Parts: sequence; C-alpha cells; structure tokens
Amino acid sequence: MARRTHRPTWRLLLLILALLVGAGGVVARLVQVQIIDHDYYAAQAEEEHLRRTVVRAPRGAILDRNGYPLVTTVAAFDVYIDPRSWSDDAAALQSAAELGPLIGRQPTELIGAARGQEQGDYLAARSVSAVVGLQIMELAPPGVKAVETSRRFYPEGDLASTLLGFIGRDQAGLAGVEADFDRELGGIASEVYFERDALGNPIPFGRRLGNEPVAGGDVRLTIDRYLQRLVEGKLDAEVQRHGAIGGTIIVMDPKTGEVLAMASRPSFRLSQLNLEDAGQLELYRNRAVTDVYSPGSVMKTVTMAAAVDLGLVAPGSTYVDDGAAEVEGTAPIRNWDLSVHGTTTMVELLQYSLNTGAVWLGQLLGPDRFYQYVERFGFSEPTHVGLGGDSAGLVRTHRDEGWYPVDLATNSFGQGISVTSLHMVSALSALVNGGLLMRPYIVKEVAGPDGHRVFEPVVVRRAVSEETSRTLVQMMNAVVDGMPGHLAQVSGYRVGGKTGTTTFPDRPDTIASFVGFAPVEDPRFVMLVRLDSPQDSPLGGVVAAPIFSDLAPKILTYLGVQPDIALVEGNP
Amino acid sequence: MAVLNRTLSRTQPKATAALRLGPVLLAAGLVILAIALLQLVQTSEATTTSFAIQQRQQEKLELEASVHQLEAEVAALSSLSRIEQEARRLGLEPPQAQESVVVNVAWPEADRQRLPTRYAPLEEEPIDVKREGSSWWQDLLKLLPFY
Repeated sequence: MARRTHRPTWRLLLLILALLVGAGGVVARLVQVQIIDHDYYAAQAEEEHLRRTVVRAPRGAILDRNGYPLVTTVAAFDVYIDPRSWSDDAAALQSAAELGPLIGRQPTELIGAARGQEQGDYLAARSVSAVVGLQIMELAPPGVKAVETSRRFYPEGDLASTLLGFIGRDQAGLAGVEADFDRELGGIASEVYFERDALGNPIPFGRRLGNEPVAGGDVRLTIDRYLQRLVEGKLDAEVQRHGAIGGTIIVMDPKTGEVLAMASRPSFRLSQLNLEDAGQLELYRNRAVTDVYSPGSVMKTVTMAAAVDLGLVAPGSTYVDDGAAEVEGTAPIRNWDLSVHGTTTMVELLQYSLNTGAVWLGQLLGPDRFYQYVERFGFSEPTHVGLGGDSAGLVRTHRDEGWYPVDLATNSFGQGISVTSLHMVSALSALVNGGLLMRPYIVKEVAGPDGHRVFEPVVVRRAVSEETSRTLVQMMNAVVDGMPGHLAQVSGYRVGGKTGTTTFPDRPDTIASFVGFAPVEDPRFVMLVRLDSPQDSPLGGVVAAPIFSDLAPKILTYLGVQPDIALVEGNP
Repeated sequence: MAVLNRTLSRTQPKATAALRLGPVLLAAGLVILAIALLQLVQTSEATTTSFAIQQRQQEKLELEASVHQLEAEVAALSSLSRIEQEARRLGLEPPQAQESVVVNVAWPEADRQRLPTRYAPLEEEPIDVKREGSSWWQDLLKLLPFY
C-alpha cells in the first residue's frame, strides 16, 4: 500500500511563520524586560511593593547637674483612621464605639470627622499615652492604626522653661537647650522599607528592611534643680510683690563659670505651651542671655578694679566729692541722691555709690585704659555660653564714631553701656575668683550618638591681678557688711556685692539690681538679682539686695558652707 | 506453538516495563509530594517564625514603653514639687527663720543621688571568668593546651 505523504502547504507554512514570529516577539520582549532592563523594572517593582517610612530616634533627656531629669521622653502613640475602611456604616460604628472612649471622643463625631478627610488617613488623636496606644493595638478596631511616637515629659513641671526650650511636632528643637543641642538630643532617624498591599498597608509577614534608629544622647546641665527652683520661686514672688514687669536671677560658680541657676521673667509655661499663639513668641527667649541693659552702679566695681589694677588708687586713696563732676560738653554729673561727701575714700565711693567718684576714676584712667578693661571683662563680645541668642554688649568706645567724653563719664558708672545679665555676673566672678574671666557654661556633659563630651571650665583671659581681686573682694565686702543696715547682709556669713539702679532718659522707671557673692573668705557663688520696673521703689539697694539676702543663706546651706557662728545675729 | 511462543516473547517485555514504571512513578510521586510537603513546612515555619518575630517586636515595644513610663514615674516621684507635697502632707513647713546650732559632728558628705538606671553612671561589673552559663564540656575544653 502506497503511503500518502503530507507536504506542508503554503498556508501551514505561513501559520508556522506567524507563530514563530509571535513567539520570537514574546521571547524578545521577555529578554528585554527580564535581562536588558532588569534593573529598571526591578526598581519599579520594589517601589510599588515597598513603602518607605522614617523611624524617629527616641530623643535624649536633659538632666540637671546631679543627673535628675528635667526633660525626658515617654512613649506615646498617634491614632489614625483609614476613612476607606469606615465606608461601611456598621463597621465604622463598631470601630468608633471601641476607639471613641479610649481617646475621649464621641463615636458619631469621630465617624463624621474621619469621613470628612479627603485624602490620606485621619489623625484622630495625637500623642496619646502608651497605655492607651497599646490598648488600641490590642483591640485593633478595623481601620484604626496606632503609630508609635514619643512626647516630652517634664518631671519638674515648668522649671527652667526658657532655658530648656521646647520641640516642635516634628520632634526638632525649636528653642532653648532643645534647639541648641538638637543634634545630640535628637539622635539619628532611620529609614525602614516594608512590603505593602494594594491599599498601601503593611503586609503582616512581609519583608522589612532598614536599620534601627540611633537613640539621642542625654545632655547634663550645670544647673542644679534645687537652686533653680529656689530662685524661680523667689523671682516669681518678688516680681509680683514689687509690681515689676520682669526680672532675672543668675547664680554662678565663680571658680568654674558653671551656671548653677538661671531664671528670667516673663517666661512661658511648658505645661501650657501653645505654638499657634503668636502672643507667646515674646516669652520664648532667655532674657538673661539675649537682652542687654545698662548695669548702672554695679559697673563702678569694674571701673574701680581697673584703677586699682593699674595702681592708680588703693582702697584708702581719696578724692574730693563736691557733689558734681565737670565733664566736657555737658552739664555737671551729680550723685544719684544729690549728696556731697567732701574728702572720700575709694571704699566710701563704693559704699555710697558716688557717681562723681566713678567719673573721677574714669577720667583718671582715660578712655584708652578704661575701654581696655571693659574689653578684658568681656563686655564687648558674646559670652560664648553655648546658648542661642548670646548677645555681645553694646559698647561705644573712643575709637567709634559718635563717641564723646561724656560717654566715658557715664560708662564709668554703668550708664550708656549695655551688657547682658550673664556678662555682668561673669565680670563679677572674675573680680572675686582671683582675677580670671571664666567662660560661663551651662552644659556639663553630652552623651550623644557622636560620643561622650565633657565640658571643662575655660579661662578666657586674666582680667585683673590676683592682688586686685583680693582688694576688690574686701572693698565689696565693706560695701555690704561695712554699711549698717545694708539689706544684702546675711546672718552668719560675710558677703560682698554692689547695688545698681539703671535709669532711662525717656522713662521714669528703673532696673533695680544687685550683684553679690558669698562667703568672702572663699566665694562659692556669685548671684545677680535684677527686677525690671519695680513699682514700689526704684532702687537696687531696696528692691534687689533683700532678695540676695534671703537666697544667699539657703544657697550656702545647700552648698554645705558652714556659717561662722560668731557672725550669727543674736549669738552671745 | 511457534505462534504462542512469539506471542509470549512479545508480551513479556511489556509486563516488565509496566512493572518497572510503577515504582518509578510512585517514587517520583513521593518525591514530588515530599518536595511539596517540604515547601509547605518551610512556608509554614517561615510564617510561624515571622509571627513570632512580630510578637517579640510587639513585646519589645510594650516593654520599652513600660520602661519609659516607669522612668518617667520615678522622675515624677522624685521631683521637688512631689517631695514638697509629701513633706507638707507629713506636716512639715518651710522654716520661717534660719537658726544655727553648733554640733560637734562631721559635716554630711554630699550623697550620690539615687537615679533611674538609665541616668545613673555605668558601673563596671567585675569580670567573672566562670560565668553561670558555662557547662562541663566548656570547662573541659579549657583544659586543652591550645584553648
């Protein structure tokens, strides 16, 4: 039987060819997609499947000098609702009924608010406590997410608010130490990628890529919480008692430049912080560091130190006070109380705070030497305390345009020259610590992601000789303890200091101040007290000196300085 | 007879082939089943592990939150305002006047404050060569000269 041979017809060949071409096309496309453009499409797929999120590092704490936390971080949760999951009434009502009581909101109001969200998730509650957050995670109401975050917690309440500052919603420091040491406190955030579903939600057991964030470090301040609370309480009470518009108290260790306490008013309350209230902006700055003022008669100690240091005068040197000092191109300058003392020693000059004596000393020094000492005490530069807004003093010298000889005269008793409160307390510290101008500092230690840093005392320069310092300590002691009834005296301790009353050419009010130290034998602290526009008395000796007198024994007791029993009032 | 023989000789190889193919197919099926089971077990194991990891992460989160909360509580309880509040509750009041009394005792040393562990300075632990976890065979290994 002859076999029939099947020869392909042209139609079949055409079909095979078409199939081959088609298959070839598919293969070519596969080669292109999977081999040639592999990286591109792989990246596209990753982007589609993976979602990127930034995990913030837990923020470090701010501690006082003994390690007590002034600010710390506690875990909190932001609660979000996915409005698409709440499109069904029954499901939404059930979820809202579970969630509402936990975050203190009415279920119906919650549903309305969530459905009103046009795009993305609805933020139902911000920074709820960890207990509530974990409860929500456990209940897991449909469409509700509790996202871990953190919030700042202030164990000491509103203490040192202007110094500590605050952070914004993005956890970045906005003011105070929070802003100045933001990098150290903030840590290093990390990026985490996780697989997501079509709705963008994480797939429960999907891939998760990324590193753990590096926690922020702790910042230890030189501030002592006890002293800070002590001075803040006193400042608040005295501002109110004298009807002042504000005030400042700074306590410094004169040997190291460590700021032990720093309070200024007006300020804000950390517990009632409202960043949306523009009226509060004025309260955020640390006035002790940012605001300058004319120090008034406190400056006479600096003028005296310059003259003593140059050997121009000694405590027993005299000048004749005839009640008015003649200055070129202006009316005679008189004493603050219009008094006339005749032949007066340098100690008496400080005791009676005589303007004529300060002008006499200024003229004796001359502008070159006077302004040289002003610079030596650091008034013409910022203090470099390490805080934002650290201002330089406003000093117009004889080398500047617009300077007149009357400027030297007024500058010698602290008018027409502006410095910050921190400048003044640093200068007085140099006068009593042996003559060294120390750089004031407020941060003692930082343990951040970059490592551990300890801040040591820094000598800026020698301001006056040790002998001059010893002389000035005795002279300032005579100003307080040598004047019967001086309101800065402290029972049981020998103290020194100088009052200051700043007047304004265009305003009737004053700034009443006192800068003092104790004990005279070995000064452990220097304290500046300043009240702005007191209503009952304009004088530093009446308003500020008693505040020093009240605080000093408490500070000395706390620092472990024993009183001299022979000096205790009423002791036989 | 010859026909019969031929028939037998033709059918015998077929039976042998069928007999050989059966176990092969069975073995192949078993292998496929084993692979499928292995895959299933692996996937199940991975899912279980993933779930366990997620649970541990959740526990870690809870413990961290709890630690922070406890630290905050310790800080709040040792705050000056709370100490004052407790002192007032006990009937204590700030002194109205300071009195100095001479007593013949040493001035108290400033005591290191008790702080939450996180804030306290790190104290170096003494290095103990034989830790609790070391077993008899680890001790035996230590006897070897090259260990």
